Amino acid sequence: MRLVRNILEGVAGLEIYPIIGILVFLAFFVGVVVWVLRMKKNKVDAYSRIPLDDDDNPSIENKDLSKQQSDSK
Amino acid sequence: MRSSRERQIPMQKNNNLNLNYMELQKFTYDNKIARLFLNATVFWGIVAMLVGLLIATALVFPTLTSGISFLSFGRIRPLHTNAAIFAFVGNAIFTGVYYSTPRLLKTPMFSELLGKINFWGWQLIILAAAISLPLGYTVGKEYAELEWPIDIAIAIVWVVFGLNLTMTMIKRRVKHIYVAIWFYIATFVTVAVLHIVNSLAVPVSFMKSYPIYAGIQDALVQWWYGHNAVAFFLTTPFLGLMYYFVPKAANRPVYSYKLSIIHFWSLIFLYIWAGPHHLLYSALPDWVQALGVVFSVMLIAPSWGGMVNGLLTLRGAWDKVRQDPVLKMFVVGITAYGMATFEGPLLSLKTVNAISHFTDWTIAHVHIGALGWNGMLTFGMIYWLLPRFYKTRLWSVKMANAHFWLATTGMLFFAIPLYFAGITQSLMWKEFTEEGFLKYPNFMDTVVQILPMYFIRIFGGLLYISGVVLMIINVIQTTRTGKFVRFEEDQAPALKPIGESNEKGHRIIESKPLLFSLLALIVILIGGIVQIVPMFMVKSNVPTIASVQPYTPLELQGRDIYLREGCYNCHSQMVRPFRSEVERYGDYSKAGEVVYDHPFQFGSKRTGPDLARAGVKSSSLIYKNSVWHYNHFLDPQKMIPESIMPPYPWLSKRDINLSSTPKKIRAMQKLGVPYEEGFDQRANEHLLQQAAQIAQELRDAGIEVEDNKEVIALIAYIHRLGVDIHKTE
Repeated sequence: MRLVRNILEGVAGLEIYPIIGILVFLAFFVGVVVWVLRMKKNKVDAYSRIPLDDDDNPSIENKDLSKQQSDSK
Repeated sequence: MRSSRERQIPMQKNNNLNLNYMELQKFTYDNKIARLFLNATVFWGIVAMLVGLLIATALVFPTLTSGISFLSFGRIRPLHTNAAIFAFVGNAIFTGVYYSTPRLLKTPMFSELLGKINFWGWQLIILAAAISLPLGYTVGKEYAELEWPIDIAIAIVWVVFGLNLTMTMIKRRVKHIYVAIWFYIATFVTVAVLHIVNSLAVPVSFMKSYPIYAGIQDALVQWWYGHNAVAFFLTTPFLGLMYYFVPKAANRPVYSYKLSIIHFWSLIFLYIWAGPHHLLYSALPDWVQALGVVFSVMLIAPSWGGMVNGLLTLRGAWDKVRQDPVLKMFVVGITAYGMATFEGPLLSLKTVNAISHFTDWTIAHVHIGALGWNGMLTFGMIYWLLPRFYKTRLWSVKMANAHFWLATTGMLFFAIPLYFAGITQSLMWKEFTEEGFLKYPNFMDTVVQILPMYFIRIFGGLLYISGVVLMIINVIQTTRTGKFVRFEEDQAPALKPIGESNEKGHRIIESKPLLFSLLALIVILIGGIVQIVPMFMVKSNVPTIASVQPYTPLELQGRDIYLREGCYNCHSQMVRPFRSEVERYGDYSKAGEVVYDHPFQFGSKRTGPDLARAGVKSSSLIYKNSVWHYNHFLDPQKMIPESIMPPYPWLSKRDINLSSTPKKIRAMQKLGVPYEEGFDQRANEHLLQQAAQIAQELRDAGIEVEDNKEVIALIAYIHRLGVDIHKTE
């Protein structure tokens, strides 16, 4: 145990690292959540349909997708 | 950023300098590279699984490949793990990425040449691994065994892949980059960082090197790598595939796109911190262990966010799931992901880890992930892609359904017995009699107890593999009934230059691939830096244990033989501070004891007993004399009839490579190991003296052996293990 204590004493302020880690994550997480909640629904729906936008049904985004969405609901 | 984007638009090959952005542009997708990767996935998949079957069988029939060095368990087990991860799963990742990326970005892949280099380079790397690992060329770090020339090749090919991916993003025709691509980018960026940082080594010769880190520091870097290889090679790319192929196969968009964004950023942020949970109760400082546990527990949220998002995408489509083998496989795959990511945090709790670590529980856990999540998702993807590549129907849906059931039951028959085995063995290791003695002081008793489970595991593996055989037949037959369609046409309007819109916040990030990659890089670097930098500081603060000395040249050679034979696959060198372990193995391990260990050899599985104090005569049940070791290496069953260790007869025939000794000493000196100046030239003299003593001991016992045989060096190393701190007592 003496050894472990010595190591920990040797590096000042070690206990701050986990706290910084959690705080950075929380701030980051809150930022992402706020941003996601503020996203516009029609845009999000359009994004989520990108994989389904096949060659026989070209392009996206610039087009009004509301008709498709109402079909899928 | 803005001006570079504007420059690139006219450079796009396919728009023929047509700057009318609203006009539809025609372009083609090239399926060639994706199909090559798909074939490689199938091929390496069956190879990886057959190798797995071989080593599972070798565990119950240890003399199965006796006398053949390149088929021994310790060398073949890394081949199995590397083949499963980098060959099977790796090729599956590339298959999905090369198919989905152009379609999501409405542009062909940036370069066919880069794609070819990516494909052939990756196959050559796999081939090099498949040859070098059985021959015993290994760094001795789990999942990072490949030697430095192959490591460099991996880095180059990986960058080629990343370049192709990033450039495709830059010349895309859609503004928003779909979430699957985010996962691909995070994969590229993080795996590059992990691979380079963990592979830093000082070469001794061609195909031999020592990692620059030592002991506890090496352990931290290795498991930061190892854990995040699971995260960013087995998880994030597959989540990307999930976000593309599940909506495709179900023909409906993902359940919640918002959830996918939140869980993406949380997942990549949290994962990178969790590595230290592989080192609980080890000599790693407590605060790092605590950090690993906290972030591991938090990880369940984004992991389950992904699982729920995947499964709920199928809401209202369950009737399809009943009929479509592709969707069935996706459902079981995603469910297995949920199980494995629930189990992961559970195993990270110190109380659970105290029981699970070093046992077959870990093996069961990873196979839920590998067979369930990676396997099922890959199979589903293959069954979905094939008919599209060949413009035909799947040859036999019945057969695919049979594959589904074989895989599902195979996985259960594989994992459940190993859960029993792991828990049973661990409890036996820890059990004391009323008088306070270990109830099972003989390690062998705990092995014999779980052997029936090993047999059932083989049965599970056989079921799983027979499913894959059905798939191979189905793949071949499907390719025969159809004709490969290499090019598929599509059309989309050109991307408006960013300047025409006024986007803010994350919209800017998600529409600028390089900025996005940079942010992802920063996010994953924070975790790495916060953990690893203090550990470098700790290293300079580790109080020297005066009695801990560098290995003698003979012991160093012996250690390299220990690495070559992959002993760490079955023997740990880390006595945890539990009464049951201290009683059985001797004093618990200290960080200061392993400062000259390049690489560390803590191990992660105790198929055999811990060897951290194998050289300490007084305090453990583990010490054995030279004669015993000699006989045991050559024929383990002669010394312990029930032993499941394979024999190593070649050790008594092969000579120690004396010409390598000075080079090895010099490499160690470069790494800071305090051999005195000029010792490299005297090292062999020292080596031969020490070898002569051990050989004489053996000859006195009637064993005919020469001084310069490898077995002598290995015995010297085993007898050095753990003794240093006892010198002062």
